[in-house]
Amino acid sequence: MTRSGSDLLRGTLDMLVLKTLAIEEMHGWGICERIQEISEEVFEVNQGSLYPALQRLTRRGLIRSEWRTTANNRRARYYAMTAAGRRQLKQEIELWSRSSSAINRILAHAAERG
Amino acid sequence: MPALIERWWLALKARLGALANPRQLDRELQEEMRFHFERQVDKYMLSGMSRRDAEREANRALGNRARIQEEHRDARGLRWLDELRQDAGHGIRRLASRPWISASAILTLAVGVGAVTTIYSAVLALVLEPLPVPAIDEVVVLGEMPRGRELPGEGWAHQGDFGIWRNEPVFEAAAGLGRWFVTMTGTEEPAEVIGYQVYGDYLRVMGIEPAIGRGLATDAARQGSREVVLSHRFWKRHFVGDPEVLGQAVLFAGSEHVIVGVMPREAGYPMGTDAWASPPGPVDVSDFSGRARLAVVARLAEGVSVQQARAALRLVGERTAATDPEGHADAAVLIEPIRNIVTYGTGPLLTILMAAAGFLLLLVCANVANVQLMHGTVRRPELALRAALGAPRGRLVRQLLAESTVLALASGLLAGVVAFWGSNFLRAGLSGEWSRYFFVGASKIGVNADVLLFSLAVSLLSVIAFGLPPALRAARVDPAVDLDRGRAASVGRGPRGVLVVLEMALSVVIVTGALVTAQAGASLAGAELGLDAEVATFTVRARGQEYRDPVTLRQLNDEALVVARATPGVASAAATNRMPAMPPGRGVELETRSAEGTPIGPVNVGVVSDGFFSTVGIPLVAGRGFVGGDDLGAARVAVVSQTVADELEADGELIGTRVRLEDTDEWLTVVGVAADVTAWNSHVPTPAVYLPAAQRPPQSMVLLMQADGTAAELARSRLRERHPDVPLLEPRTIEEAVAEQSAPTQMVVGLMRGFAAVGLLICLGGIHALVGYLASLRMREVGVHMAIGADRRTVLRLFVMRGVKLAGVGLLIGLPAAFAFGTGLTRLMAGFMPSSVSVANVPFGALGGSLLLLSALASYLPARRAASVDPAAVLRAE
Repeated sequence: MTRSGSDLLRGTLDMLVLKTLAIEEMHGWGICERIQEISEEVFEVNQGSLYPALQRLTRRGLIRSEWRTTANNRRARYYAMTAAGRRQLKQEIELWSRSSSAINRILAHAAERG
Repeated sequence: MPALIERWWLALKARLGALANPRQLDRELQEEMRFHFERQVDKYMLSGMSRRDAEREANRALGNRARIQEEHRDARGLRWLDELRQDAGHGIRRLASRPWISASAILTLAVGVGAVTTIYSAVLALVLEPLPVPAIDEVVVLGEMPRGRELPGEGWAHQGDFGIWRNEPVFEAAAGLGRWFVTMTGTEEPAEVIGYQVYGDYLRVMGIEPAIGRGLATDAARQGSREVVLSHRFWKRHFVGDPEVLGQAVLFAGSEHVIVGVMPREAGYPMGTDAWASPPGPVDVSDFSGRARLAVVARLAEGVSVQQARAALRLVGERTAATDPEGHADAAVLIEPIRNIVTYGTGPLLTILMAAAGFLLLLVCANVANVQLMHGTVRRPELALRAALGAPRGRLVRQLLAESTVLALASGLLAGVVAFWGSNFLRAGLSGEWSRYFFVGASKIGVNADVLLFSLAVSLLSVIAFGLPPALRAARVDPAVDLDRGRAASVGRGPRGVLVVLEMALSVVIVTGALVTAQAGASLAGAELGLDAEVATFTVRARGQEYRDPVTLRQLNDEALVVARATPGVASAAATNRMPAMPPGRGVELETRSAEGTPIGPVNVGVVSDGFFSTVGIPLVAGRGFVGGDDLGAARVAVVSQTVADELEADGELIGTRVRLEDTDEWLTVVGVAADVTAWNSHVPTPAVYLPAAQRPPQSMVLLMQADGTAAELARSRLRERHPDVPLLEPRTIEEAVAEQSAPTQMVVGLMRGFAAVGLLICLGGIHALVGYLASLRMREVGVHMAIGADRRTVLRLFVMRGVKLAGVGLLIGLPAAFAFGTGLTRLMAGFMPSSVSVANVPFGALGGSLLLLSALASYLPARRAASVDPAAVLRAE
């Protein structure tokens, strides 16, 4: 499911990126692959929207980046999470789980009734 | 906590980086995307695709790179900056695409804002801080005046009172200033000194420090020490601003005084003072019994209000009246903040200018607003198009704001230039030698940045306020409708018509103001004054002790005439007590012997020597002027001016009749009638009676010569050789004297005329624009009308009448307002201008008529264009 530009999805994308970087530092393409991998191909990230997202997160000070040379001698920009990013991620996860359990409860309730 | 700091630090770096070097970020993104692309291609090729297929798939997966670039830039959080730059550029282009409209808008705004800035900056300089005195509101002027004749600043205290007043606890300090109008000699040229001897600590009262040197010594040990502090102007004028002057001893009133200090610029009170000197007697005596008159200034003690001081002084007055009844009977004690005294002269003048400038700005704003409205409707299709193409409303609004800001900046710059010139003009008009007695602080007039910004903001507001609604409407309304330009909403009613009406009303008011003030304008031409204005003059100011004796004085005066007449190049010479063609004083009444009627008056009394009328070029209508024979021993004679003669006219010869001046005992025989002389600030001749100088020698004499500048100067230096101690002042022609004294008035009249002319021009321009706009909008209707048979003239009349009608309504509103304004002006100027200035002199009928005519003309030109349109072409364009 790919959509462009809506705030809701932006926020979700940001969170996914943060989660990915929580595990390991990596470059943009790697993040892309990892998200697809973990989500078992449900989320096919619109690859292009990744880079603006990375810029957004950098601007907010949640991640930092530096240029490195890869194993294949190519230049790539590697991203890493900052302490603030870690904290933000924790908050976002809490918020997310609270909202989703609330939604689940509503749906369950409706199912009972319906 | 460290996490937060780290976060902020990184965030800041990111933003600064984006701001500083956007292109590098773009390049880095490109590189990242290239890396991404290659890895994706590798991945696809690994799964078996051909290179070409892999590349295609990779491109598709990555997406539109330009879009990514854009979103990336967005995410940098600096979009607003880019857009700002874009909007600004757009705004400039828009303005440039309509050069005439933009130029006229910028020009009119610049004029309005510039005018207001000039005047209001001057007000701040002259009124808010007229003297460089700290806490100026604590300084007051005290005086005693006979009851019923209170005039601000004219009260003089008796020394006795000063001694009592200064001890009152309501005052922190007080100083008494005694008139000391003397001559300074011993320098290159003797000079007249308007000075004051100081009792008490003057500098403490004023809170001023001398610019160089020190103040007068106030301790008792230095009594009678003969010190003097000079004013800045006097120092510059007579000592060339040389700081070495300190310590020099110069003769004032014949005795040596040491110059101990110089006051800062424009710091003088009383206004126009040249020097302050130590008093003749003891400085700190609190028991004065002398009757010398002092001007008293005092500083209120901490926390004391003017009311409290007034009450305290009243108590004192009652006490002293009880103990010394005849000295203080029927006198009122005045206490006035020094600010009021010092700004007395500028008040009315500035009020007039403030009002006129304010009206002008309003007019300008109305005009610009009107242009915006017309513009707005014209732009509707374009704005609608942009809205249809997806521009968000906020963007449209922002673009409009950007355009208005560019407009405002351009006009602001130009307004600054206008204000600069205006301030120079204003300052020059108020800085003359004569002016310093009435206007203090003139040298401080300049452009005040706050005022400039404020008036600019006001005009910008009107630009935006009237440009915004069309922009907003455009974004809302169905684009399809607005793209069809032919569908024009009903015009001429609503805001546009109202604005034009407002402009006309304001124009009438300003023009009337100019017409009223112009009545006080100077006639500099000799012909209008009634004499030969090129007559050279200088003033002989015989102030010394020896000239108190009338015999010595007469000798001096006679000698001056003899020397002048003997100088080669001087065709004739005469003398008088006051420069002719100047505004008269209060005047006295004249009584005739054959008096059935009441006394005539007031007439101005002038004392003149023999040969006066021929030298000055005043023709004698009847009888003769004065001759050598009219001296002390002979019968008392007089010459009257034409106006007086007309009033006196009994049947038969006027020559030989007797007249008497109010408050004198002698009857004078009329021996001649002279043509009228008009003062420079009046259009009505001054009624005058002339007396022979030989019978009444004047203390201060103006020598008049038919001669050119060199010869006059020669005469002056010859006289100076004979009398090195007598100041021979102000060598100038009558014309120059008039110009100098009339400078402030001339300036006000000039400014008012300028405002009126500009205002009228802008107003007519507004009518012109409106009619043209109506015509272009109604193009289709006109075409239809003409196609079905209406002739050109009807069409013309339609549009011209539209413009004239609007102007008419404007006049209807404006004329009463103008009358009220003119009446207010007259009342304001009453103290300063001759009584002949009146709002009734303004030809309102002719004014209204000519304005209607001009409006008709302004409407005719665009109407003609409309009427000359080819109906077929218009209809075809549908």
